[in-house]
Amino acid sequence: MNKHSIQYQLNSTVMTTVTFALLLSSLCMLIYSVNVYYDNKAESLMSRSHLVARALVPSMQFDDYQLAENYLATLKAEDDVLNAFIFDENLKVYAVLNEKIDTDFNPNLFINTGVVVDKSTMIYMTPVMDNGEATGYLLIKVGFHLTRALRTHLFIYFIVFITSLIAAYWFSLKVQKKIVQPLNGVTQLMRRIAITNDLSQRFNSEVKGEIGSLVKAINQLLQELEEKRHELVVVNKSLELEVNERREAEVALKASQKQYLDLNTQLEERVKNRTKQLESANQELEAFSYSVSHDLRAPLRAMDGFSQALLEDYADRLDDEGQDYLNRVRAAAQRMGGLIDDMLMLSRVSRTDMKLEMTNLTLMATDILKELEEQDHERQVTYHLQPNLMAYCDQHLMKIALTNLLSNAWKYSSSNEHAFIEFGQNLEQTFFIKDNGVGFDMKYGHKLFTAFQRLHTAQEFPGSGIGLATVKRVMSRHDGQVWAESEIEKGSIFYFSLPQA
Amino acid sequence: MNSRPILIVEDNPDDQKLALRAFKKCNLSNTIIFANDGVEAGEYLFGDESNKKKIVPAVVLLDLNMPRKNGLELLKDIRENDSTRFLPVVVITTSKEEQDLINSYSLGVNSYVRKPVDFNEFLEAVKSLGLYWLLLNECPSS
Repeated sequence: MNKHSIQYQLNSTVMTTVTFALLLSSLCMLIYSVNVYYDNKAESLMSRSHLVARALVPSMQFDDYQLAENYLATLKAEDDVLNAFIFDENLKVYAVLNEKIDTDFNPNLFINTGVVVDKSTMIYMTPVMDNGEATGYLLIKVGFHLTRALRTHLFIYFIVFITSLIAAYWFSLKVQKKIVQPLNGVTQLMRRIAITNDLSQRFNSEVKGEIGSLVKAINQLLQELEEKRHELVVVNKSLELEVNERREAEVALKASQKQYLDLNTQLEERVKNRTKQLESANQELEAFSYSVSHDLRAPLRAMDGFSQALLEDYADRLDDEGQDYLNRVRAAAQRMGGLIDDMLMLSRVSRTDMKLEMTNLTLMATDILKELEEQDHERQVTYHLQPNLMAYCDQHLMKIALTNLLSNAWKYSSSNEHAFIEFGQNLEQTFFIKDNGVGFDMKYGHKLFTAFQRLHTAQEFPGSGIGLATVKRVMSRHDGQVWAESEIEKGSIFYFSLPQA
Repeated sequence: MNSRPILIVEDNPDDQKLALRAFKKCNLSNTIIFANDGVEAGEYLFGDESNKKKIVPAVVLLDLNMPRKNGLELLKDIRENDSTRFLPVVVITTSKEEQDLINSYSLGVNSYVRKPVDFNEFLEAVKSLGLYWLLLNECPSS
């Protein structure tokens, strides 16, 4: 039992209190007893002394020694009287009860001192008064045995002390039990719960008071803990399930990711290969077109040249018909030259890489129209170009497209003396080229942009029929659109739109 | 008036004939020598084993696409050879390729002309060329 335990503290408190109380009371009782004994003894002595002193008056008056001795002798009957003296007025010994003891007795010491205690004797000297005069003195000496008298007291106190201590200890133990037992019980319960992890246990005792409240509170706490733990277990289980699901999902995701990456790599590989194939096909096509155009032009030159030579050098030997034939040959050769150029252009438009940048279309159109004027300075054509028309496009391709559209406008308005061409922008990314030329039948509008499809004969207007197909190809490459509206003899408007940068 | 011959390097016989006719029409009296390809032209210009006499033409009209040695290779040889380093060379070709233009100028061609399909235009071109290179242009005398 260590000094922090309740038992010890309770015990020690009780014992200390009891001991203290008993000691205090014992002490008080003792002091009181001492006083009582002294007072009793003193009173008895004094009253006896006075009685005898009064009785001695006549004997002293008449100097009756025998009487005095008789009175002294009565004192002998009292067994606590040790000795008694009668002194005369001069304090000389007149009579003494017991001569054998107190041989050198000095009475002067005891005049007017009252009761005096000397060792284990109590001494009292009282004067024998006769008419206010002291005719003698009586001194009685009794035994004063404090310890002997108090012995019983002390014994009783001791017994009481012991019994009280024992009783206190017992009561204390009882109370401790009431307090400590439930506490120990709770402690044991807690230990058990800690070891077994079983929160369903409760403390069963019906304790009252503060310990009872504590026990109730503990039971409540255990109840709540049990419930919470149960909840936690449930939540934990569901979380575990979720974690497993998530893990599985993660694994599946990783697998599909890997699949995706693999697929991606495959696709990229394929794309790379296709691009390589396309590039090489493009290059082959380029080389092919070049040599084709080159090789096709050489015979054309010969046809055209020798026809001309014939016309010039053998004019006198050819009739009109012959000359007509040769002229047709020449014309055909030239047309073929034009076709070759246009086709080469068309194929190049489809193949070249595009470099997109902000381009000033007004400037471009101005250059084209100036060139058209130079090549055909006999005609008077007025034109209006909206200033600062900007578009995000490939300069080279756009030049080809605009050249085709503007030459068309130029060409097909040749029937009109006051030809007017307008180039402008009517919407965010939509431009138009308007002419007041011959126009075309909208019924055949869907053929307009098809290669080699013409809506007029070569007699009316020369052309290969590739120009608009080329324009369409340019616009397609820009992800743009081209379309036209027209009214016969009123003119045409060609629109094209380009996506924003 | 430059009386030296004109060397026309051209593999197409039709074109040769047309060029000849064109020069005739210009009334230019210079001799016209035809070489059918780069190798033949080289023999004319630099001489061969049999030591045929070397000719130093007034101007070389050079086509580009020819068998065996093509125009650009011949041009390179002409420029590398001391005797022909300053020889005026005019490329006349049907090619519209920018790259041919670049290559020719890189190798030091004096002029580059596109052969027109239209014969009249061809005639005009030849006339201009003849008049310019034979009558107007000057060369170092070495």
